[in-house]
Order: sequence, then C-alpha cells, then structure tokens
Amino acid sequence: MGIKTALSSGLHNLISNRPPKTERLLSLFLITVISLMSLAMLSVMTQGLKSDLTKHYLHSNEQKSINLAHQVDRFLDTRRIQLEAQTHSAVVKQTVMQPDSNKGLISDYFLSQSIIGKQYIQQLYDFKGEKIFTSASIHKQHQSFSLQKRDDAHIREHFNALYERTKNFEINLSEDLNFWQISLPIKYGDSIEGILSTHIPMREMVEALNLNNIIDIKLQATTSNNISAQWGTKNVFANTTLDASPSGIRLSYGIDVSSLNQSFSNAKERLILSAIIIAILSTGLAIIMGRWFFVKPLERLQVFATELSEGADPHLEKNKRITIEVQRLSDKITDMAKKIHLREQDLIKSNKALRHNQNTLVHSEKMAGLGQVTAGVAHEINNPIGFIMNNLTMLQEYHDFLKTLLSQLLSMKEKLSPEEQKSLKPELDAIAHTLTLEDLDFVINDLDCITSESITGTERVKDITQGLKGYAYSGEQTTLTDINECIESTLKMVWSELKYHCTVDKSLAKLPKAECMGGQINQVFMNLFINAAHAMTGSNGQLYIESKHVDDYIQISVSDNGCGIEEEHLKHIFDPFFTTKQVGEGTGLGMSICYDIIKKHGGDIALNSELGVGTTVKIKIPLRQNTV
Amino acid sequence: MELTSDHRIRLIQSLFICFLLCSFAWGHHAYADTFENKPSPFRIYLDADQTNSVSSGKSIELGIRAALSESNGLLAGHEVELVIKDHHGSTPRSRHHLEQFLADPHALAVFGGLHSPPLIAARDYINNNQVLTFVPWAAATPITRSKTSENWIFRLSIDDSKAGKVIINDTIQHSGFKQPYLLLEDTGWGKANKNTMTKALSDLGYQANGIHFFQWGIGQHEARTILENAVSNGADSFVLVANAPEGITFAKAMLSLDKPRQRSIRSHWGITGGTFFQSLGASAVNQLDLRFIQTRFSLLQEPLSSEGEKAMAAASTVSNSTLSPTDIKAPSGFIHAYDLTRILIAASEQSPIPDDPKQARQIIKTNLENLRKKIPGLVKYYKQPFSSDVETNFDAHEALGLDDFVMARFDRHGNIRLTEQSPSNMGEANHGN
Repeated sequence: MGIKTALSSGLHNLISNRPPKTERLLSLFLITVISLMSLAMLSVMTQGLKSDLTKHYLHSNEQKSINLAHQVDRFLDTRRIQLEAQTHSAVVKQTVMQPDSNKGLISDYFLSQSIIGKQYIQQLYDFKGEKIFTSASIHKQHQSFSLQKRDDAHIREHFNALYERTKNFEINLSEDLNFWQISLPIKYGDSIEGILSTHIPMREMVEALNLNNIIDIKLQATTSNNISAQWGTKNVFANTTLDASPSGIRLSYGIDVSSLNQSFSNAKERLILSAIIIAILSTGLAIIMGRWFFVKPLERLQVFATELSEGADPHLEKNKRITIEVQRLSDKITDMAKKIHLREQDLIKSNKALRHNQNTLVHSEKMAGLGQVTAGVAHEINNPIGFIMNNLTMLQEYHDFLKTLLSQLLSMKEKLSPEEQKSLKPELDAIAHTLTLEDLDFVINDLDCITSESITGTERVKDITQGLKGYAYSGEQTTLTDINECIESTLKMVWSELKYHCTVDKSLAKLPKAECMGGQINQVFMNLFINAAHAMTGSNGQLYIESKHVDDYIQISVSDNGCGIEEEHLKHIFDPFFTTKQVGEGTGLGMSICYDIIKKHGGDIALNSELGVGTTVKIKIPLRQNTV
Repeated sequence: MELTSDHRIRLIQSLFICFLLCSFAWGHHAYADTFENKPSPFRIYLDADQTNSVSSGKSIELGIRAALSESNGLLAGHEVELVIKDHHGSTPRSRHHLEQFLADPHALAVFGGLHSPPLIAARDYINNNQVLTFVPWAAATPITRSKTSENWIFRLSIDDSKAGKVIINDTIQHSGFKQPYLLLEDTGWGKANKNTMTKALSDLGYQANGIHFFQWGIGQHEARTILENAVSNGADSFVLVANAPEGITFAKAMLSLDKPRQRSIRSHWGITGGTFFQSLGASAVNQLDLRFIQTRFSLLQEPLSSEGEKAMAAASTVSNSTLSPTDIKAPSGFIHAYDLTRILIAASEQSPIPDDPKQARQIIKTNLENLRKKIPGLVKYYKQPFSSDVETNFDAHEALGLDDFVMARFDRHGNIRLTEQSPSNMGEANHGN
C-alpha cells in the first residue's frame, strides 16, 4: 500500500507538473531501479541458476547413474568371478566330459556350492549346447526361465561366442527379465567342453542394489541377446552408454529432466520470493538511507535556506549521517550563507550609503547648480560691485572734498559777522538745526569710516565673487598655474574662516608653473584649509603651509595642530561621504573630491595624522600632465 | 566389320569342331561313369582324443594308415577314407561323432581312442545302431561287454578286467608293496578298475590302504593333499588309474612331497596317451618310481620282429618319412590299431562285402567273429581273436588275454621300455580269453 501510495503520489506529482517531494521521488526512483535491477538480476540469476542447477543435476545424476551402473556391473561380475572358479572345478569339468556318470556328483557339488551365500539354478550344457544338467530340481526351484521362445534344450547358437572363444563369458537376460544368466565356458585342457550357466534372480539384484527406488534416472542394462532391463524413471531414453563394463553387458542411462524442471521451478519460485523480499528490504533500506543521507540533509538545507532567505543568520547543525558530497554541499551552503550574510550586511551598508549618496548627489547637484548660479550671480554681482567700488572710491574722494568744503563752510560761519549772522540767521538757524540732528564731526568721521569700510567690503565682495567664479568654473582646461598663487588666493577666500581659528604661517618656495587646472587645485586647498580650521578649535591654532619643488613635482604640505583624526577613520578618509562632522555640517565629499582631483592630475595625496597632535596632508602635483 | 563368305564358312567350321569336341568329352565322361562303376569309398571314423591325449590319437591314426597302406588303402576293393574326429575325451562329443557316423552313407567302421568313458557311455548306442566299432586303446571292462546279444565293439587292447590284476600283481608281487593306495579317476573306467584291483588285492590277501576317486582336471594342490593324507595313513605305494593330464598332476604332486614321503607309482597306461613325459621332463620322470601297464610288445625291443619291421616300414610310407620306433610316442595306440586294422582287413577279405556300408558292416562283423585266417600282428599271431558267443564268453570281443600284458617304464628319452621282453615265439598266442 505504501509503495502504491508513494508511486501514485509520485506519478500524480509528475503529471501535475508540481515538483515532487524528494522522498517520494527517491522512493519512486528506488522502487523502479531496484525493481528493474531485481528483474534483471532475477533474469540473470535464473539463467545462471538454471545453468548451474542443470549442470549440478546432470552431474550428480550422472555420477549416480554411473555408480549404480558400476554396482550392477560389480554385482554381476562378482558372481561371474565366483562362477568362473566353479568352471575350474574338476567335478564340473568331468561332468561335461562324462555327463551320465557324474550326475550324482554334480548334484552334490551344486548343492554344496553357494555364490555369495546364495544358491542359484545352475545348468550345464555340453559342447553342442545341449543341456546336460540343471540344478533346478535339486534346489526345488521351478521358476520358468527361457532365453528364447523355443526350448532352451539346445542353445548352441546362444553360446556361440563362448564356444568360438570370442568371449570368455556371457551375461544374458531372460525374456521375462526375471533372471540374469551368467554363462561361462568349461575348459578341459585347451578345449571348451561345455558351458556353465547360472541363473541369478533379478529380484535379488533389485533388492541388493535397491533398484526399485531409483529416481530421476533410468538405468538400462542390455545384454548381447538384445534384451534390456530398465530401472528407474520410465519416460526417458537411456541414451548414454558407459564404456565397456567388466561384466560385458551394455549399461546405459538417461537422466529425467522433468524433475529438474520441477526443482528448477521450485528454485525459481524461491528465488523470485527472495528477490522480492530483498527488493522490498533493499527498497526500504534505500528509502531509509536515502531519507537519512539525502532527504533529511536536504530538508535541513531547505530549512536553513528558508531561514537564510528570511534574513536570519541560521546555523546548520553538523550531522553524522550524511554523505561526503552532501557534507561538502552543506559546507558550501554554510560558507555561502556566511558570505551572503556578509554581503547582505555590506549591502545594507551600501544601501544606506547609497541612499546617503543619493541625497548627497542631489545636494551636490544642487550645489553644482548653486555653483553655476553662484558663478552667474558672482558674475552679475561683479559688475555692480565694480561700479559700486568705483562709486565708493569716488564717494571717498567726494567725501574728502565735502569734508574740506564743510570745514571751510563751518569756519566761514565762525568768521561771519553778527550781521551777517543776522542776515543769514534763518539759514544759520536751519544749519544750526540740522547740526542738532547729527553730530557732524561724528558723521564726517563715520562717513569716512563707512566709505572706507564699504570699499573694503566691496573689495571683499569682489574677491569672493572672483573666487566663486574660479571655484565654480567647470570644464576647466589645464593651464600653467602658479601653485603659490592658488594657495594665496584660497587663503584669501577662506581667510574669514581661518582668522578665528588659527594663524597662518607660510613657507612658499619659488615654484615653476605647473600644468594644472587652477580652479580645481584651489578647491583642494580650500577643503584642506577649511578642514584644518575646523580641526583647530582652540586658540593656538597654527596652520603651516609649505610648498617646494621636488624633481618633477611640486610638493605642498598643509599641517595643523588640530585634534587629529582617529586611526579607524584614517582608512576611510578618502571615501566619499565619509565625515565625522555632525549631519548637515559636512557632506563628507571634501577629501574625496581632493583625492579625485589630485589623482586626476596624476599626483598623489597622503594624510598623516596623530590624534591630539595634528594632521599633515602632503600633496604632490606633477609639473607636466601627460594626459588630462 | 563386314564378314566375307570365306570367313563365315571358317567360323561355322570352327564352331562345329568345338561342338564335336565338347560332345566327345561329355560322352566319354558319361561312359566312364556308366561302365567303369568305381565303388564308392568306405569311410572309417577315428573318434579319439586328439587334443588332451594327442599322442594316443596320432599313434592310432598312424597304426590304421600303416595297416591300410599294406592293402593299398583298400578294404574289400573300396577305397578307405579315414575321417579323423577329435572327441577330447568328452562323451557328448563322441556321441556327436557317432551320430555323424550314422548319418554318413559311406561310413563303415569306427575306431575309438584312448578314453573309456565315451565308449562306455556310447556302448548301448553303438550296439543298438550296429556301429562297427574297434577299440585299440580304451581299457574299461564294460566296453566290450554288451547287455544284449548285439555286440558291435571289438577290442584289441588292455582289458581292465585283466589290467587291474596285472598292475596289482606287479605292485604286490614284483615290487613288494603291501599298502597300495588306489588313485582312480572318477569315471566308469576308474570304477571298473576299482573292482578288478580290489579283487586282485584280496585274491593276494591284501587290501588297499585307501581308495580315492578324483575328477578330471583335478588341481595339483588337491592332488598333493590326497597324496599327503595317503602317505600319512601308511600308503607305501600308489596305483594310478588316470589319463595323461591327471597323471601329470599326480606326478607333479608326488614330486612336490618331501623325498622320504614320495612313493612308487604303478599306473594304468592312460598316462602314456598324452604328453606325460614331455610335460614333466626327463629328470622329473626319472625321479619317480613309475611303472605302467602295456601290451607285451615294444617297437623298441631288439631285435625287432619281422612284423615290427613291416609295420615301421608301412608307418614310414604313410608318414612320407623314415620313422624310427622312438618316433612313435604312444606306441600302444599304433600297435593295437595296426593289429586291429589288419584283423579288419582280414575280415573284409574273408567273404564278399557288399557296397552298401551298412550291409558291409554286418558281414564284416560276422567275419570278425568267425575269422578263419590266422593273422600275424605285432602283439601276437591272432587266431580267431573274436568270437560271436558274447553272451557266454566274457572275452568274446577281446583280442588280447592276460598274458599279453606286462609292465613298462619310460626310459631317459621318454621311450616306453617293457620290463619284460615279449615272448619270442609269437606264432600261437591265445586269442585272449
């Protein structure tokens, strides 16, 4: 039932296009394979069995037949040998020579004789084959015996072979198969004078050799008078003839294979039964083993994979009952799971970073747009600032003029006569009134100050716009740029940031102009200076900027004595979006951009920092660009 | 090929001549058959042992042929064919030969051989069927003594009714033994001898130390046991009635005994019929004190009688070689057969003999029983050797008498030497009653 269910289920699964359960598939597979193998094995074994059984059967029965034939042979031959001794007996000899005068003697003789404890009917025939004596009467045995249908009183022809010496003895069968007749020549001198013929009852041989209980074979004894006695199975031909036997009778045998077929059929049934049991047992065992060694590990792997898919970090238990392949698969899957887990972690991080980057990119885009806008605005601002500066310069000049004019006017008032004063009283009063509104001196001085400051401010605005223009300029071409100038201009741009944090010391050597994109180099410096400024929170901040020409490079070193960078952050310092600043304070792109720019120039940037001591950034910029 | 007329004529002439020649030849043959009327041959059967006692058979044959040669191989004008039959000593074989004889329209007479049993067994058959039978050797008493008036068997040989006496006389009187042990073959011959010998012994006031009947083909071991027992029982000599095969066995058995236990043997003459001397060898035979009975004639006696010379000459003639007396190994057979054949010839010449062998037999038998002519023979001069008074005369068909027997021995060469010379005057020997 179980097999049937598994089979139908497996078939159903196959038909229904639903992936079948491994266990059922395995069962189906095993049942099919084992059944086929059992059938094949059964077929081979049946053939082999048949062959072996036949061989064994034939061999053993052949041996049995041969043994039996030899026994028959011996039975007769033993008696023949004993009877032969009788033919040497003087009484027997004399009787065949002088039958009439020896009747009494020969009767006594045969009465006294026994052949292996038995007395048989013995007959003497003379040289013509005429019966001259029979012991039948003295033994009181009257069993009918005839070698041939006609009276056996004269059977010379029957003994021809003996008389003519072509045979030394003759063993024949009576027609009714009740007797063996062993006939031996009786010699006197060198002549054969008669025959001693002895009747051995067949019954005696059958009982002695148990010939009635022969099975599976047929034994046939054929005598020279072509009479055959057969024992054993009836329905076979005794077609195998033994080699010449001592007794001289032709012994042949046949083996009855019908019993072989029966025993083969029995053996086949047992074999089929065994095969079925073995098939069932092996299927069961295979299913159990398949379950232990394949299905269960696969199920565990399935559970493991499920857990893995659900994001857990599952643990795959080691199992002893798995094959090395499954073990390797488990190991690989475990390994893979670990990697997946790590990758997932990375992915989460990357995802986070990506999301951050996306924001940053948006921000950058904004910034880039802003930069362009700024550049545009700076450009637009530059013109008004130009004329504002001009105007302010002019205003300063005009201020000086007005101040001079005012002092001259005020000194003239002092110098006015009272009349004059009177006459000009309203005006003077108005002036006096105006003067009450503001402190003129202060205004004049302050105006001066305001103008000066406005000019300074406007200059700063100009500088800033100028810087903005440079910073925001993209698609920049390399030009021969004085790096020191870049340093200076950047310092100017960020001075407002720096001046609250540090002092700036510079050691700028005379440098040859380098092929680079000045705006981008400015951006590098600006980032470095601002970062340095941010690192120096104390009051004794010092920014040291050094430039020098080394070989084909210009080497710039920017050092601060700020807080330094933690070692674990050092390896990420050039990563995009890496920042230790508060969210919103920095984008984390500064150092990354620096790195990209320097690398783009074929240069090098390295950072050396010690926590609490300070940070030094060294930049190498090649004098000549091979490819930009 | 085209035949011309000349050719045809010649061919016809040739055929005619051939026809004439053939006709003449046929006519001559028919004439010869019709007018010459040559008598059909008589056949004499020799039914003897040519196998086991071959010497006897051969010597009898030689004797017959020698005697016949003296009458040019004719018997009453009929050619004589000698038909040799070998009965091996077997009664059935002998009977078979007698049957053959009776079936043969030319068969005239039968000569028997050495063995008595076949003749004893066949005696009545012979007499009933009127088979003219001559016995030149077999010694058994009953052979020539018919139960009825029909007696067709004529013997010229030792007769056991006398032989036993001769042998016993030699044993007791000549050799001086007192405890003879009788070793007799278990046949009619042996039994007949038992009677005569025990009677001879008792006539002399003795009795046998023991009697044993042995079978033909007896083994040497059994023979030795018999001898041992007899010697242990005080036998001082053995009287043996045996033929050559058993004689050889007993001789060997005797020689196998310790020398002091060996005894003298006095034997019937059966031992001389075969290869007794040849089988044992000269030295063995000479170790034995062996004497056996013979008829009172020896071819070796010197000077040889004129009849002896004649017989040897005739034997040489029929043998196609010159024979000396020592060449005849069983001389008794030769001597008796020769003498018997002479008697047969004489009987066939006494009156006309019909051509029909059966009728001839009757005439010859009558003539034998009434022979008028004295017949010179080797053993003696036969004067009416047989008579017809078979019912009253015990020795009516015995040609030899007691005086015709003597004891003999083998010399170093195996020749038989008589211990007494035959009487020089052979003219008037008795007819053996």
